[in-house]
Amino acid sequence: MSLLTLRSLDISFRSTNGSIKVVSDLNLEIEEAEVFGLVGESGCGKTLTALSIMGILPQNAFAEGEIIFKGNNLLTLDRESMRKLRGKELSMIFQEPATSLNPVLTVGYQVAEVLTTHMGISKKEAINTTIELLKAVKIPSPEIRIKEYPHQLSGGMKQRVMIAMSIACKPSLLIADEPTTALDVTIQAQILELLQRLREDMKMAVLLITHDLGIIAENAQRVGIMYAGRLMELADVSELFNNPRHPYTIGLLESLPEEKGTPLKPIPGFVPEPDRLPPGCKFSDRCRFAIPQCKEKEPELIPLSIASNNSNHSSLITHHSSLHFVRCIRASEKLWHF
Amino acid sequence: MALLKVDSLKKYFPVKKGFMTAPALVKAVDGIDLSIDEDRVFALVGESGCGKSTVARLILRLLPPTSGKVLFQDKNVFELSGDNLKAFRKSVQIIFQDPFASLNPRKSILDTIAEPLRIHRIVEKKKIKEKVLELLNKVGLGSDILNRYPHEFSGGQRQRICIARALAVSPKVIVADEPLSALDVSIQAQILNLLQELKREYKISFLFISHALNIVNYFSDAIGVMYLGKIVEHAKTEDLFRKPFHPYTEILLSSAPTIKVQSDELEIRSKNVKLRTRNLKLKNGLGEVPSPIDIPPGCPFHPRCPKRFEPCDKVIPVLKESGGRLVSCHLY
Ligand SMILES: Nc1ncnc2c1ncn2[C@@H]1O[C@H](COP(=O)(O)OP(=O)(O)OP(=O)(O)O)[C@@H](O)[C@H]1O
Ligand SMILES: Nc1ncnc2c1ncn2[C@@H]1O[C@H](COP(=O)(O)OP(=O)(O)OP(=O)(O)O)[C@@H](O)[C@H]1O
Ligand code: SF4
Ligand SMILES: [Mg+2]
Ligand SMILES: [Mg+2]
Repeated sequence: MSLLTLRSLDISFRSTNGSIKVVSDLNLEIEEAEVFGLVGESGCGKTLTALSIMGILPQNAFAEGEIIFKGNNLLTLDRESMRKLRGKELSMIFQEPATSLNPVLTVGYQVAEVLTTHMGISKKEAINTTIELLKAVKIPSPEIRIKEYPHQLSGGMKQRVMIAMSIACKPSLLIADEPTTALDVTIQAQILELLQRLREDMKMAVLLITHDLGIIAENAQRVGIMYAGRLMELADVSELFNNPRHPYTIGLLESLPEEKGTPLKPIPGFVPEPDRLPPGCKFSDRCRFAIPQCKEKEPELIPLSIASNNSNHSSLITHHSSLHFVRCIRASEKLWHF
Repeated sequence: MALLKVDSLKKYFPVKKGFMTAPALVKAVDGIDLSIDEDRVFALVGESGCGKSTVARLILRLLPPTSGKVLFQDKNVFELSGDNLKAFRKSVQIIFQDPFASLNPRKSILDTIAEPLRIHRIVEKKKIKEKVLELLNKVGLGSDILNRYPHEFSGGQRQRICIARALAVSPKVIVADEPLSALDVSIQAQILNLLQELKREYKISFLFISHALNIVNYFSDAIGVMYLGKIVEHAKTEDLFRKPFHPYTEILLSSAPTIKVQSDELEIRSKNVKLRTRNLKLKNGLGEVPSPIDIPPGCPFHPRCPKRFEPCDKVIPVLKESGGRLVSCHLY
């Protein structure tokens, strides 16, 4: 049984004229000790998905469906049990560290508090552990730094304090929302290595949300690609980068900067607001491979092997394809070549 | 002529060590020189905490320096007042590292972007809304967000609101502190294309702070590599990426994550998908990050340097010319 299962998860905002769905029919499983990478367009609902697992969606938002963590549906769990789970079993590194730390408390106090609350250890022990944790995330002079306030730290240091806080209680699932964007590549490499170690030693699973495809390639075992609140493609890392099938994934790979002087090739247009999505495939209005049928009915997320069997391109089935899911009616055609 | 010049700039912050002892100093910026010409992009790269954002805030006059000067069009910005100061505030804009913290939570998006337009009288009153829409459009946001508030957006959307705000007053210099890190690669590409267009059209110069080396390589003309408050290598972008001189630069360039897929049967041959992996040996050998409170003697990089030799732990190297660039390392 997997550690976390999202089943038909929808997330919506209440608004004056009804509700607006921003995440739609999300299904995925994360195993113990697995790093699952989640990638997608800015505003596609990655952070909201994370917040719904943590049970801390904004007031005007609500989730429907099932979020099953260690056998319990978190969406039906009472407040108190959810609070206990959060911080201990489940923790999160927030995307904007500066605003998730309390500006009037020292960073040492904030990390130590997590430890005294959830681990039931003494204040003194907590301070020592805090220093150890800050060392582990490569903050120099931790003994001095614990007495400082967030505004006295650099952007990347604040992010590392958040990381220290989130791993303090050795959670079974760590949600890392852009955990290393504020970090230079050398420290980034060290932090990712630390997370990998925790994964191996403590079987910690990680939901890794990032825009950095290089980080995904190096750290995740499986990847989900999201667009407009939906999973568009889901596969093993090597399968996804070797054999991308969804035109949105292809567009992302093509957007990476190449040589200097050559213009970049972003996906044309911008993602529409959640209440203005096109009919049929939600990517169809920006897709250069779109055909008239794309506008008719929204494709389902189905295994590539099935998509390929239904067409006359069955020769393309590879042994990977059972693990590879795509939401595109042209999934069976190999639309892109390196 | 240099549009913006930074001259021996220093910023030290006092920090408490213990209850009784005298405060220690964080030497966040420790004597930096750089200059940016019109229509050029100067990138600042370096380890987290090495002082990049502090340089940015000093240039914008958001912090007083411990010593040194920032010259904009040959005038020391720390001595500006009245109309000159106002003109400076318009000409030099910043995009902050943390978009959420730099937006006023009680101001709607319309007001956020209209404010600089009003203060600097960029357009007539009745044209303000139109101009705001045009700016939002450029960064890929629609008209239906005008009356929403910062907390109602995703991280990347907030970053784009900040970019639109910086562009509003047609600045001459944009100091961009990690402007793209919150954005997905497709929007990164769109914003980079936009910045390049602006650069061409309005001759805007940039101080571009970023950890994303592929973007730095793509966008900048020259690079300063910072280490513990100092510039240790200063070179043309193409030279630096062709051959890094300073051992720290070398490690930095080899640590970037790349897309390499372990696959037996499928070989990737793509310009987009680079085939290098991180240089593992260098990465593991990098060791502990030294503290800016307690800077090592000699070359500040020597405790972590794989190439250190005799003089490195005693003699401080100076930044000097070597092969058409500046580098501070005893090897050169
Ligand atoms: N409090 C809120 N009220 C209304 N809409 C919101 C609110 N918070 C988020 N949204 C909207 O929900 C959508 C999804 O937001 P989310 O933060 O999950 O995006 P994301 O995928 O994390 O994007 P990014 O990569 O930019 O961080 C966005 O369109 C955003 O505008
Ligand atoms: N207001 C302040 N008070 C005390 N120390 C400060 C203050 N602002 C910055 N510092 C210290 O100055 C040093 C440089 O910080 P700065 O924010 O410039 O780093 P940075 O290079 O931008 O790092 P990052 O890449 O993590 O954003 C850090 O050691 C930081 O703790
Ligand atoms: S001066 Fe010595 S220690 Fe410093 S970078 Fe050069 S070789 Fe390494
Ligand atoms: Mg987000
Ligand atoms: Mg910074």
